Amino acid sequence: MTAAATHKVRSGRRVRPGAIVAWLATLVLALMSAMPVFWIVGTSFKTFVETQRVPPVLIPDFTNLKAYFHEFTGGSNAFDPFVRSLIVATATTVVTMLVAIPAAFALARYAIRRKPDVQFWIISSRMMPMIAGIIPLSTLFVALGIYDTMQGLVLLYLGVNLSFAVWLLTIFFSNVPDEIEQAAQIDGVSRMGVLRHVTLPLARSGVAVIAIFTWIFTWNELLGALVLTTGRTTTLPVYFSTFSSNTAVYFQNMAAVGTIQIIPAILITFFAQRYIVSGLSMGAISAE
Amino acid sequence: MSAQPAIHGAGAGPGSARPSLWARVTEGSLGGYVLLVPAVVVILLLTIWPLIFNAAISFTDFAGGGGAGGASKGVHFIGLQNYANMISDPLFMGSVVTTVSLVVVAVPLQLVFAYGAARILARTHQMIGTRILRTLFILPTMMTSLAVALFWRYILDAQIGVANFVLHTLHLPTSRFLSDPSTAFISIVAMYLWQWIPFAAMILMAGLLGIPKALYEAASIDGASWLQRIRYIDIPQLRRVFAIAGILALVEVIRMFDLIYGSTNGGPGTSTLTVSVEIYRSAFQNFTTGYAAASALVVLVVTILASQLFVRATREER
Repeated sequence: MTAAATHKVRSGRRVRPGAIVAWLATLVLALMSAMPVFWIVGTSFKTFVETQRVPPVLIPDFTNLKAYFHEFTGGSNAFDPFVRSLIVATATTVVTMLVAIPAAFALARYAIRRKPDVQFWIISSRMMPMIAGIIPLSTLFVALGIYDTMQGLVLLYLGVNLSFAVWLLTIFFSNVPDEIEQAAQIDGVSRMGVLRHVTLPLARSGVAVIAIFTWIFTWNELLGALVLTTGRTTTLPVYFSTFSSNTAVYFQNMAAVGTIQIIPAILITFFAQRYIVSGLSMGAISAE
Repeated sequence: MSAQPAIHGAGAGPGSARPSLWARVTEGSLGGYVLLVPAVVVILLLTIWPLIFNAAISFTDFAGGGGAGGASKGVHFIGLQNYANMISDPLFMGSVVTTVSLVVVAVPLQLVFAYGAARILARTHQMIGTRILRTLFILPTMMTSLAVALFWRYILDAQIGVANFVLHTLHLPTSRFLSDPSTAFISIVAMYLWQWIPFAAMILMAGLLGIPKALYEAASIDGASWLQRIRYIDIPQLRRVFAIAGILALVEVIRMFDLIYGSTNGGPGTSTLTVSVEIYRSAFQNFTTGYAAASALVVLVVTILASQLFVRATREER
């Protein structure tokens, strides 16, 4: 009789051994993903000597912030690229939304000739891989005088993110009930007023998700920034990539820069988990 | 084919008292087009024009890539010379072989492992504490591949990497991983899988959760084995989901740049040189821009064809 009781949890539902095995398997999956990341975060608190030690130091002294001070205070280190990446990612997000919102509203609510074709053209325009687009763009940017400037980077990333943003926003706007918008229009609100006061507030969670994805794609992008910048406007990924070419790598510094670089990704994973799969799958299609 | 009438009951509302020019434009039947203009201009400038320019310079000896180098010393039309050179270029052809090998090895492994993981995740979907576990699981996918490359470069370091320490402790043979031409390729595959299995698994998990429970109940009444359940329920039901995951994987592998650039930079030798890294080098380090443009165009066309084939294959098969 006690044996039967041990098979029950507080809720009264029976826990089968298979479920426990499955739960443990889920734990193993999580650890396989997380352990390498934890290891690098731990490395960022090590001294140079500790990073070189065999057997490795398992638990570092978490009060040792030398690598962070070395990389994020003083000159010629990760600090300027970090600030630039913040500016570029944020400016790109704002500009992308400013261009994408009217376009998506038009596609969702206005009569447009051959609308399905226009939508298909917008989304398929990003089938081009970055490596193919960046060769002509580097020439164009030199000609326009925006090579190696933050404006240039924002323009590049606007192009990269726009089709994704327009496409998803169109879906979100289409989901806003027509009747609410029509009621507002009958009350004398202009169509732009409807967009501002009705559609946008009602679609705000969708708008937020698209903004977050635009931000993180830009924050992470390497190849375009590698080609379109030299020393003056290197972004954090470009600076971060220099750790790959040094022969004697100070791994604690790499880990400190890496930890800061992936913090937004970690935050988004924790707070927007349910949007990640849909966002990434569509984003990956459009970012091509 | 769907030629809708342009004027479609979208006229100015009766309540617009003092319409400004902007208001009159956005209320009118042409308003939609006006709102689309900025987006269309951006796409024309940053996508369509580069595509045309890229195709155009692929027939020339143009050498103007990048701002730093790029001494444009007169551009000559050379016909299909760049395309002919590609075939006799061991570096480019080698990078094609490496990339195709990556696709052939990594994509099936990714889908198989992701399916296994998805089965586990779907099983524990409702259970306590699994939300946080799924969040941890998906973390590598959200990071930039550059971070994945640099992180694993330290973990897999031949002398001081923790991977060799673990192998040594378990009395398994150690490896030089990324610094040995014979193991660098498979190390890249492993790093790629570590980053992208979780993503494919989450897509497949969502698909599995959408399969009607009645199918499994019927199968268990009929006494179907787990292999038969996979063969006759999961695979047919998930065909579309597998296709999406497969195309995303395919495209991700073909364009692989950050992962290579941050870990091996194509080496040792050319054992991990992918087409993206090779094109980057010929465009921005060797300044054979026209040649790089031709290569990029070929890769673009192949990518589109390959994903089309993939869609076809998963659709026809029954």
